[in-house]
Amino acid sequence: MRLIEGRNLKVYFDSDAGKVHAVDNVNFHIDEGENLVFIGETGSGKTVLGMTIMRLLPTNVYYEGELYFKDKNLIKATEKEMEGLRGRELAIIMQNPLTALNPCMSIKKHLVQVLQKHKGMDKKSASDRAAEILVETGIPEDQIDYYAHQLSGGLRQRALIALGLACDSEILIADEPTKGLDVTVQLQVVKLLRKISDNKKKAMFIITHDLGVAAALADRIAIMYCGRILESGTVKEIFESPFHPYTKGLIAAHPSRGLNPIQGYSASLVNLPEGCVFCPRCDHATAKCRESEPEEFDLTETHKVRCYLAGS
Amino acid sequence: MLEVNNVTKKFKSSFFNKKMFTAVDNVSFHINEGESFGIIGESGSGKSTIGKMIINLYTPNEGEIKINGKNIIKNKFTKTLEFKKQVQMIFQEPDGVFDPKWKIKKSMLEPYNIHTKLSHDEKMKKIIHWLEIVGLSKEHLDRYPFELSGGQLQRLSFARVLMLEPKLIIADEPTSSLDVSVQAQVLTLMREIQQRLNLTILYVTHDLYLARQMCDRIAVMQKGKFVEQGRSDEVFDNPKEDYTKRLINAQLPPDMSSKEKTAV
Repeated sequence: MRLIEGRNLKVYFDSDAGKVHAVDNVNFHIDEGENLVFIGETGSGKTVLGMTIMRLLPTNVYYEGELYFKDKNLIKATEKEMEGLRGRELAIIMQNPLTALNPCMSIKKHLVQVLQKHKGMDKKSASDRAAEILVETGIPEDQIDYYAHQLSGGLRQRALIALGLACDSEILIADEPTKGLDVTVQLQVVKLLRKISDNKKKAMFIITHDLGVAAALADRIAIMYCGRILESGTVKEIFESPFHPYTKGLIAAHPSRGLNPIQGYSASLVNLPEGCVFCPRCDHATAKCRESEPEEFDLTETHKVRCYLAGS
Repeated sequence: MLEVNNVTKKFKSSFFNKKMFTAVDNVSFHINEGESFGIIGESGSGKSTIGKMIINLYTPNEGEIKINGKNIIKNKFTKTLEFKKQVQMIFQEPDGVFDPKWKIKKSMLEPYNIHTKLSHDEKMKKIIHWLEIVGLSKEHLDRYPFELSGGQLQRLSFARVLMLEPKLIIADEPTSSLDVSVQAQVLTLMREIQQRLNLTILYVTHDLYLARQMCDRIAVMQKGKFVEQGRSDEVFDNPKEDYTKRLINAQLPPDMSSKEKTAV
């Protein structure tokens, strides 16, 4: 079953410098039990996309297009309807655990609150369930009453994951779940997320710029650049037969692949180049690329790419 | 160039408790001129403490640190501008490097104001030259730090360190806040400048792939001690210690093998 589907989704912000095209003409979908990973650099619009699903963006935002959760258009949903969905049906793991957790509240209390509000549990059973979830995500039993600052980075991240799991929502959005963690701790967190997606058949929307984490967690991958999805496909397709010059460049820039940089810097979202957004940095750019933006071409049923190289 | 002999650093574990916590335990290594050396370890292993001792932000409890044969511990030389010009540090978070109330121009002029007696025009000419090297331009000088991205700020902090043409640079997780493509740009730039100026660089990082690319020799650190030291490709291809093996195993490469590694 299709859980989330974006059709020609556009998200704009009003700013002093002009309209910021944070997300532009994006099509994507997540099916039940599927992990979709968005890879992109800072400023490519991947976090904005995650926040759009939760409808947590500031008030200077404009939406166009459609974004469905099951059969509800989230963009048209009222604030009241969203309140019913947030936490219960749509859960998010925020980027920075230190700012996402309340410093004056123990991590167990966070969960108890969520359970009481969304599941209508009484204090006692909520407290029991909270402890259960925390231990399940790998927080030592004697530390569940700790405050955020008392926990190590890895455990803090686990606490946030536990919060995301609290209401057993069908979809879990994880925004940079391994940011700032050491390699060994990162591996533990990725394993935990794998366990959740494999055992609970939860659909996940993961945002990251770490290609290794993406390879470990994804069923499908979407590569974002300047608010657009330049390439999308299964993990295998993206890593074993990348098509778009940007995807190839990203993989070649990884330290394990020789640290070869892509020339130039990514364009400002206020002042995008004419034609294909990647063409100023692309070795294969032709006159056509500079004139008009390529449509999506299908390479296989799952592998889609926005590049004229695929059309010719 | 740099010699670190049997250095130990202890911290008080708390105000009331007299017990000492040993952050760095009897560590020795050396770096030759023009070489890059990497210290690898998890957070809390003491790797940043070593960097801070070399730049004289901490004083070690035991042992000696020599730069060009000169012992820098409890030496008045370290208070001089000459030392500060020779040894520079690149910090993990560029946000802390720039004063949020200053325009970038003022922050960039500061090192030249302190260390040189050039005229304003000469300083500006040099600054613009370094900006171009790190891929930025004049227009960035009139902005405030919050108007720039993390990658741009980090490149600026590189320029700010490099423009004094130091002899030894300590880079403490210099790219952990950057995206892959920006990281590759910044690091290839570092490599180029290192060759051109014959710089000596000490990298402190937890990314083994990165250390392998950037360092001639590496040391693996665990709980304040060096567990393994050697040429970076040797340590990588033939790790002797279990801890090193574990670190290498924890890396997730961008291919299908990551899926197998994390399978439950």
